[in-house]
Amino acid sequence: MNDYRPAIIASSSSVAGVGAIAVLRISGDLNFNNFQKFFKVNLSKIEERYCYYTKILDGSSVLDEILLVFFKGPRSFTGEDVLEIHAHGNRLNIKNILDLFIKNGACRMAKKGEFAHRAFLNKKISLIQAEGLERIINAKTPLALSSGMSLLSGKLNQQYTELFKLFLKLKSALELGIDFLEDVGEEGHHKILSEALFQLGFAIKKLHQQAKHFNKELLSPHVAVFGIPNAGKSSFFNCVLGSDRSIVSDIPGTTRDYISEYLEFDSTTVMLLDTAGVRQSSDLIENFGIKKTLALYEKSLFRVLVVNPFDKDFFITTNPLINMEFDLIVFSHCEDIFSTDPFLPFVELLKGERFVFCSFKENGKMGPVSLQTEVGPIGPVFKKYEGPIAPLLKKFSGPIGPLAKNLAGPIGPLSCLNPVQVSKDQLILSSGPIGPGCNLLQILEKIVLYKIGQVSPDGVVAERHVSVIEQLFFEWNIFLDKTSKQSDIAILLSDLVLVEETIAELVGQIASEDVLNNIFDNFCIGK
Amino acid sequence: MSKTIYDICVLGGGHAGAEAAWIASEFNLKVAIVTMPNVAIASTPCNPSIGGVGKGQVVRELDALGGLMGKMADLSAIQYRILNESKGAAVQSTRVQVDKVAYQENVLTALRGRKNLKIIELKVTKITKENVFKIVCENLSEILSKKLIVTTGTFLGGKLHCGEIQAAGGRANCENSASVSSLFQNILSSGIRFKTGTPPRIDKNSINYKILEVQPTDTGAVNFHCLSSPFLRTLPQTSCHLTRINQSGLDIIRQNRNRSPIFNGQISGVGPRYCPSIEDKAFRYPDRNTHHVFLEPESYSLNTVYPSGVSTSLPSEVQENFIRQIPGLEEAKILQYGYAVEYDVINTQMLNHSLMCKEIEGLYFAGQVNGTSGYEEAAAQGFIAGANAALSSFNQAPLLLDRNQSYIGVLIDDLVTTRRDEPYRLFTARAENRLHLRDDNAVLRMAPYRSKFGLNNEIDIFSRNFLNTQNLISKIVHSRVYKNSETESLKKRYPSELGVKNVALADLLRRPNLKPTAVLRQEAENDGVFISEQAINCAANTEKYSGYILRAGENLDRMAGLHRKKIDPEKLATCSNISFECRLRIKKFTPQTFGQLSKIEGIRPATLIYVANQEL
Ligand SMILES: Cc1cc2nc3c(=O)[nH]c(=O)nc-3n(C[C@H](O)[C@H](O)[C@H](O)COP(=O)(O)OP(=O)(O)OC[C@H]3O[C@@H](n4cnc5c(N)ncnc54)[C@H](O)[C@@H]3O)c2cc1C
Repeated sequence: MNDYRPAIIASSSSVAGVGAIAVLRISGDLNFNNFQKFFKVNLSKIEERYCYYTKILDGSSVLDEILLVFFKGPRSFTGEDVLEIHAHGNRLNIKNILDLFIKNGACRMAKKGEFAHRAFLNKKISLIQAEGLERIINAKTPLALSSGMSLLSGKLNQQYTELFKLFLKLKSALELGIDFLEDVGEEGHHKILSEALFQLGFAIKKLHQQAKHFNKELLSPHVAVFGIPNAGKSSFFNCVLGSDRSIVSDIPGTTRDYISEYLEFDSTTVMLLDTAGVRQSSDLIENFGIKKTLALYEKSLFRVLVVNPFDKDFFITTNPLINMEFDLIVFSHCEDIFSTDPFLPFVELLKGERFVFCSFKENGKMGPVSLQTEVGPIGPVFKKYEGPIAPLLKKFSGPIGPLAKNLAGPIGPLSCLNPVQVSKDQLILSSGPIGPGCNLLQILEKIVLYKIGQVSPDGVVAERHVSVIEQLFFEWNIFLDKTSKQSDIAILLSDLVLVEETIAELVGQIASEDVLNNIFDNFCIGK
Repeated sequence: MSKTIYDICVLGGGHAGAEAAWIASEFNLKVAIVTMPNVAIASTPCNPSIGGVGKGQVVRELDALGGLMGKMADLSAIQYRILNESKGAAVQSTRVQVDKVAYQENVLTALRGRKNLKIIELKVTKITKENVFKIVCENLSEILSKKLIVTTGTFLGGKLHCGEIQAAGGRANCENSASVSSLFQNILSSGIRFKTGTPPRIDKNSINYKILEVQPTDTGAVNFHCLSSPFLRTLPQTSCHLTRINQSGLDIIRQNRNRSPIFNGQISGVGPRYCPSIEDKAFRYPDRNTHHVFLEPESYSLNTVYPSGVSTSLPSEVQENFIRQIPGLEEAKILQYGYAVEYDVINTQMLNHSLMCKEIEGLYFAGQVNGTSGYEEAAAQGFIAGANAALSSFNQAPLLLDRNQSYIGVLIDDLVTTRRDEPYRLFTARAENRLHLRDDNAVLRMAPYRSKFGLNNEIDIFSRNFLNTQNLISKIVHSRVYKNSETESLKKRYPSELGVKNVALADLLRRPNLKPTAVLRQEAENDGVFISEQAINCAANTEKYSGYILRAGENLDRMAGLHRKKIDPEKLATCSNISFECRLRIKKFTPQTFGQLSKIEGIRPATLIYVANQEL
């Protein structure tokens, strides 16, 4: 007897971490006995298509307050039973809830497009629609551009860039033979085409060979420290590394634009980067440096901002850093908080989902660094008043006041938090200031690994890359075989689509506009 | 007596205007074409050729729809070329050199033949709209019309550059026209300016042809006009010649960089990258020291020769100097200097797919004023605007060409859905369904559109017959299977082919080593069926490409179904399940379909999934 039942799957259907509310869906043949323990409401009593206000429970602690809707199959999007949970829209919160279900074996994480696929299986939408959706999504988030890429080593990154270029070159070479044959001539075209075929083939083969040896070593996310000059970046950098040696040697890449060190976090190698200070400048060379720093920002997985809250230079509107997102903010020079007013806009920096460290100067260098936030149900939240920020709150009951959870104000959303009900292992415990050195490193490790977990929840980034590369290699060989047999160039281009689809999954869709631009940039076209 | 109110008025007598007036007046409507005095109708201010890769297909599509250009090009052609002959039937195209004087005369005769079309030669200075459009002319006379099609080409705010000399003008020796904002006071404004240029014209008697490579006409090229006999030539055929500009000529240009309006900042309009001036070539490709120059005769009744490849706006004496460095042109006499023209274009995103302004009922735009370049692109838009103005006069549904069915559809869709920062030209690379958009099946592709006009003219009868013949051949192709007893004779005919046992005719047509048209012709004749060359071409290639088109079609469908899904931007812009940034972008770009939404930069996958799921 065939007893096969599709697994119960769960995932978030909303833009994680951005909306105030996120919708999680659990789909499958649901046995409420397996789910009851996670909900306060009695599941056997709920009616389909009604909305219930209830709580998500992890043992005795409350993870979140939610709205719950039940759709009984087949009257649902997937055609299966569906539980829809409207939770607070923070990424960590969503992850915590999903983890709770998954770790308890109630369901597994849905794969990309799996909900749509089930909907198709249950004849809710046509395959064409389901595949179309998947392809549009793939095109928007190719492996190389999706956040998964910032986990990969710079070398692989380079190879993908190269792959994109060479594919564009081949496609341009083929198109050149149709729209611009008169401009390049038969012979010229033949030469351009064979060169492009050879180069792309070579790149694909090389990538394929290496893919066999892919492993975790390929994962080396960047943790980069940013700030304006003199903010205390290097102090923080040294503080993390536990020494005050000024690191200038063993710089990979030999550029003087940044200093880097490798750190071993769990089994992941992380590269810690100290970047050149960012400042608006009319100096060409300095601007060039800023460009490089901003490029590093794009490439980094975990971004740290070091700010001196008393430095007005940071808060000028032309400072590019002011509008950028960071995962961690380190306030250097908190010692003056007792004597001087911090620059007001600095409160803005406390908003949003990020971790905050504060530090005091000690003996002329960066002293103890303390964590001001912990991982709460909607991401990092401010600790209770023990830390150095506490006096701050008391002193300025104005703008910073609202940070306290029982005071309403501009930072309002924070006040609805309930920072107590967090399971132990997600909570970074730190009572008071943490000394320099390994303690800080440990904390950093935790929050960086937390971010890695968010970006690649199942840790299978490398596997996905390998399987797409395998497929690319396969499609390429079929295509190559056709090039020797097919003289109809429009048919060849139509065959190239199969290669293009896999390339697109790695590096993104190539639009006809890209091809034309590439042609105009590289060939003298037009009479 | 009350003043005449036209049903449709076409402003401008270029290729767009001529085509618009031609199709509009095929209907029972009162049509006027208002155009500048002293500017010939349907003139070819740049190279005297029509067709080309992609463009040739457009001319055939137009022709099959009942347009003017194909027929006129045939009547005036002095040379035919088949392009991409070695690259497969799907991308093969035709281009002709036309006698530009003959072309203008032929078009004028054709338009004059329309009894319901009035040609008015006046310069228009102002346009307003109350109940009807009021078109005010230079002599202060007024023309009233229910609908207005604007095809003013390069004339709006036109400014000519030849070295340091700048002058107002629409093209050489022609006045310009008011800028967009003063012509359409209170209706429209434009901030976009494009630029194009043309080479000097050379006296044919001053060219040393003896040392030049000859480019003869292709006798095998099939006429554009589908109703004429395929190889009929009206005018005597002639050749073009090929030479090149070399280092010495390019050096002269490079020495005069600061006298070039393109490089010294005098011109701010954006020119097309695919139509570079010789200055562009000299500076952008410093390592290349030779470029082709094609010498194309402009007309049997003119002495001018058009040197294709050396478009320029350098000062006249610099033109003189570098031209004489070109082999064969050592003694060249320049009859008219090259120049560049800068002009206003409108933002085509304000138009819908019938080329009408979304905001102003009855106002259409077509041709170069829409930021395109090329005669064929202009003509195609003129036709679409003209047909749609006519159809809407009868409250009929508009003519909307699918981009998967025609190059014209690609052109219109690209124009109205995207923004451009340089003049637009058609390339086959822009068409997703290229294997289907062929020369040979233009009639087949256009017949369903043409039939919507509800007319019963020569072309309508022809295209119905053509469809019937195709259906018939298709039946033969799919039912003819060669029996074992026929294998031997089949092997003799196709020695390169193995496995011709129990083979179907359709199979033979798809084999990569065989020429499908030759096979179909021969096999049909063997079976005693004689079919016209046009029908054979169409049927054989349709079969050859069918598998690929089907595959591509599935791909396109997968996307198209979703892409065409209508969405409600206002609703989405306030939807709390969509991130703030995405909502802002939706508000700004107001996408109407899922496809448009997915193309907006910065729209997140999660938003797409959410919207798709909502709309599915
Ligand atoms: C110098 C030059 C160089 C070119 N180079 C190229 C090239 O390299 N490649 C290419 O593909 N194409 C080129 N072209 C473009 C090609 O000629 C045009 O795309 C095509 O002719 C446009 O057709 P149209 O009908 O839109 O406009 P046009 O042919 O420009 O016709 C405009 C018509 O509007 C009329 N008109 C304008 N204003 C008024 C008014 N106020 N009152 C009454 N009548 C008015 C004019 O009399 C004219 O008949 C060039 C054109 C010029 C002038």
